[in-house]
Amino acid sequence: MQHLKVFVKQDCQKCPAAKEVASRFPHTEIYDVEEAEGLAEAAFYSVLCTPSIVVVDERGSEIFAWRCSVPSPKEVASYFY
Amino acid sequence: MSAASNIMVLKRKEGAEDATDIALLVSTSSKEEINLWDKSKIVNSLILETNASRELASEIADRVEERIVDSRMTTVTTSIIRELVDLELLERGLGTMHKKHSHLGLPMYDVEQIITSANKENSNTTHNPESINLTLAEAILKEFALRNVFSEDIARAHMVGDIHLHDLGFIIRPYSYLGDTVVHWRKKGSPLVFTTTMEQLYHLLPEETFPEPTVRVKYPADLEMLDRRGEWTEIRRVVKKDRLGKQMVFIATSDGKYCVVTHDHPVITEDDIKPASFVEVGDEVETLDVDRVKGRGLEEIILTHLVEANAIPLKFRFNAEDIVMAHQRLQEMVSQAAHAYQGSRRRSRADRRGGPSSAVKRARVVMVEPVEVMDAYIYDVTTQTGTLIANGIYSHNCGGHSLDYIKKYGISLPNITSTSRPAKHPEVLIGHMVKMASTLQSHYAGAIGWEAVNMFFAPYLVGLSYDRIKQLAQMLIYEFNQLAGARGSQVVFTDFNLYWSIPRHFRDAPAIGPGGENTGKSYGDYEKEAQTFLKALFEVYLEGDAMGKTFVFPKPLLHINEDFFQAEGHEEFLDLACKVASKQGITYFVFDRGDEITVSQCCRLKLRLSEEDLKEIKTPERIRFTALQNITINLPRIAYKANGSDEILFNELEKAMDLVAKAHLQKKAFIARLLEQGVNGPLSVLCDAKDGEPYLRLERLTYLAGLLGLNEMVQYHTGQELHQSQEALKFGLKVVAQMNLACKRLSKKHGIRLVLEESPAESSGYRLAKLDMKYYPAQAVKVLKGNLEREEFYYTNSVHLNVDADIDYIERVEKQSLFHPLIEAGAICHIWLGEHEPDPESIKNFVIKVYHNTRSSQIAFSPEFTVCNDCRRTSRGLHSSCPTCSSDNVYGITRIVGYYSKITTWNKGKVGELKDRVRTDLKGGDDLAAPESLRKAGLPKVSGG
Repeated sequence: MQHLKVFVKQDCQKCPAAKEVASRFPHTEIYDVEEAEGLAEAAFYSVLCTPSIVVVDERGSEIFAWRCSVPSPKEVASYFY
Repeated sequence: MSAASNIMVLKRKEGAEDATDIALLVSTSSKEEINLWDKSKIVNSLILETNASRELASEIADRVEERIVDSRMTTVTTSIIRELVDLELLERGLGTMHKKHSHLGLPMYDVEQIITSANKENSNTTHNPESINLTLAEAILKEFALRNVFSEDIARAHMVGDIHLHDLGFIIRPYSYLGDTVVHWRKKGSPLVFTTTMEQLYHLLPEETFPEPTVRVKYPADLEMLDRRGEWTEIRRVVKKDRLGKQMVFIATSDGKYCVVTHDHPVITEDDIKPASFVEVGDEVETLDVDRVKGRGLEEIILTHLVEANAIPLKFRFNAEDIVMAHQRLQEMVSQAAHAYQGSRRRSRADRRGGPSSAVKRARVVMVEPVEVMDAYIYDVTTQTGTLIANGIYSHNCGGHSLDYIKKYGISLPNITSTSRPAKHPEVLIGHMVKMASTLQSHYAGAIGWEAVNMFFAPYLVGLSYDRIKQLAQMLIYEFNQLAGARGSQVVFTDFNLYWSIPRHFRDAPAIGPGGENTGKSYGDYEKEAQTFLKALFEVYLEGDAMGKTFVFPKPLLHINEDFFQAEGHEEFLDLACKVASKQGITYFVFDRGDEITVSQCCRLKLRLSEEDLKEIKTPERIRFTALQNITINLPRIAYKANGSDEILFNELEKAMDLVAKAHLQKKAFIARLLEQGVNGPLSVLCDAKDGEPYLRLERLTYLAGLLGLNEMVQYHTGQELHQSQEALKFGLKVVAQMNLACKRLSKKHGIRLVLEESPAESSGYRLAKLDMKYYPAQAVKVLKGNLEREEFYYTNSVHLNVDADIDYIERVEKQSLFHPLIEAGAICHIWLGEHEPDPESIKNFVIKVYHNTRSSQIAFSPEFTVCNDCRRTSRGLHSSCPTCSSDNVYGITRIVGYYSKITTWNKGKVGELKDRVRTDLKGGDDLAAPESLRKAGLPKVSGG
């Protein structure tokens, strides 16, 4: 089952919007890139800016990603089946 | 006559009063002299060296005399006397005095060893009289550094191997130097744009006035500066003030303006004039539209600022740290704060008055924050629009030296008695470059990098035939390579940054040509000559030396970016560069992606410019910056201490980072003391103010925190190596992420720029492994790599995967490069080729795929060679005898860390690693989608050493 990984930080204008979009989907994980855990996860998915949303499969492999941008819920939904 | 007066002192003049006496004596050791015993000399020396009271000094001298008399010696050396005095100091618990008074030196046995055996700490040196002198000097300076420069906890951490302080023997040199650009200015209307620091600008201006003892002011005539919107604005005055430890405060207003001022800076608010630190969010402050004051009738005012109580129209104070903060981080916060405030703000009086007739406006304060800055001086630049462009260049290790410096100024150095005018001919320019590199090498411990060499040379090559250009390329490479004849045969560690297409940030820069004159063109106009020269350089690299052997230096760092792939002829040139990589291995492919453009690189160190900064850069002149020191953390040691506990591991990591920052500050203080001696001091070259500023700018230094053995740390802690599971890899990323965040925290706390780098760890990898075998043998044996029995063991370099890992090279590069964005000072992936000579087409495909599909900063391909001392032929692979003439008088060459060297000069740890390296022929390397096809099959290991 695919789910979302959302990368955010404080003082990031578009991050609340990204979190809002992601919250509409099940099992979403939020990572703060100003924490070691979040920054490590961001590095793993080559995420270099916030907000970013990565769709991963059950093994954690990337299916699709929006880096440095906020997709519409519809766009995200198209990767859930 | 008392018994004591019969004692003769055999004096070796350690007590000579100044360095000149000591130096003279060292060089003429036969001039020993016999003095009569004089107890007062002990007293005087104690007072001079340790600040002891006369009473204490006399008491100690009496006691020492008694001991000597009791020992019935008739002759005594000054070293024995010193030891006896030290003993007295220790017995009295006077540790600090003992430290000051103690003797630095080497045992007879050690000196003999240094003279008779080669020093393998650095394989870049050979064993010869000059290198022996260097090693002896380094030995003393290392001891001096550990006892005098660093505090006891830092020295201890180094000695037991928690950390490794690099280049201790070069304590009086900064690690290396880099480039910087801060503000952009010009004579009014002039096409020549200067890009300098605030300090530089200040120093370049004439006629200093001193309105107060700690304030200096200069009033430039006819200068204008690029402001934040890229427009030209007149510079009214430049002020340099002692900061006197004052707290700086960041103030932002609802109309998006901001400034950084000292806490006591007077600010006019609606109610009062009060110090900046008393300003509160919501206060109304005055801002001023200067152009309206001047009655220029401009429609739109670009930017206004807080006014000072003394009615100076604009005051915008900041230093380099502020620039970085203001332009990179705080700007975002300001716009958010202003945005948030907008809804609730009431109309200001200025708004109510409205209309263009009034220059004074009022705005609400939306943020007041104390900011930490370290600089001793504060610089004010008052401009017409009150705003400046200040770039946010990253500053790192190693020299991004601009060739334009010597093109413009020629050679004129405090340590050279003659002065050369700017070169008129390319051959002379090469000569100047080599001499400058040689001078810099004697002042820096690290590499000397040259920025955009082919581009800066181009104006000298107009109209020359290809044969002539090739001859010049040959001369440039040979001159740098063979400079090793001086200073102990140590090659000047040189990097050439090279570009096929002129980098965007240099395209519009005015070109300096023969005689140091502007050619009237910009560097973008010289692309053809720059490309021809680059091609010629790579053809020389391909041919190798007279016997076909690869050149070791200068290292060609070929920058690959999007423009490269768009430039005409890039395919043909990439073919040549890959041919060189396959045959000689010396090409380094440096990847600049998107907004990440590197302006300097050595070994693996990068200096990045942001896209926004690059748009503003009009000239590359005077680019230089310095990294002060590299300190590497022994990561496996932390895992041993943690013994499986995540909490302890991350705590220890934080402690180690704190220690690194502390050590950096200590070295900074030491170098500052030397620099204070100015042009008459030991670092005179670095104080030289050729272009109005010291060559080394202490406030711009970069501090490096190195990593070593992440793989072994993760292996000990999780039971798996980085390549063995996703969990292990992610744990490694978490460690590096934590270090990255710690760097940011410590940078902010101490006002320094601390960044991570992949330590080359040529000697420290072995040294720290050895110390762990001493202090943590039970733990270390579980993860150490190499051959324990032969003591050829080592820790894996930085964040690299095990060199022996059974994974294909594309996967290796993909995994290692996940770390690269976290390691801001740069990283490298090595592709060990061994005896393989892959098809250049495979290398090309590999390079292109790595550029597009990974975040790798840099890759290099390393073949191995055997050189025959008898027939002088060079053959592929490592052999015990020459494949051509069968002679066993041969030696091997390959890349040790970031450069090639003779394997016979390698330390045991590196020899162990060499044996473990998995070699590839890159077959199937063009297929990223099918990594299985790249599996290790057919990749042999070297059986011998």
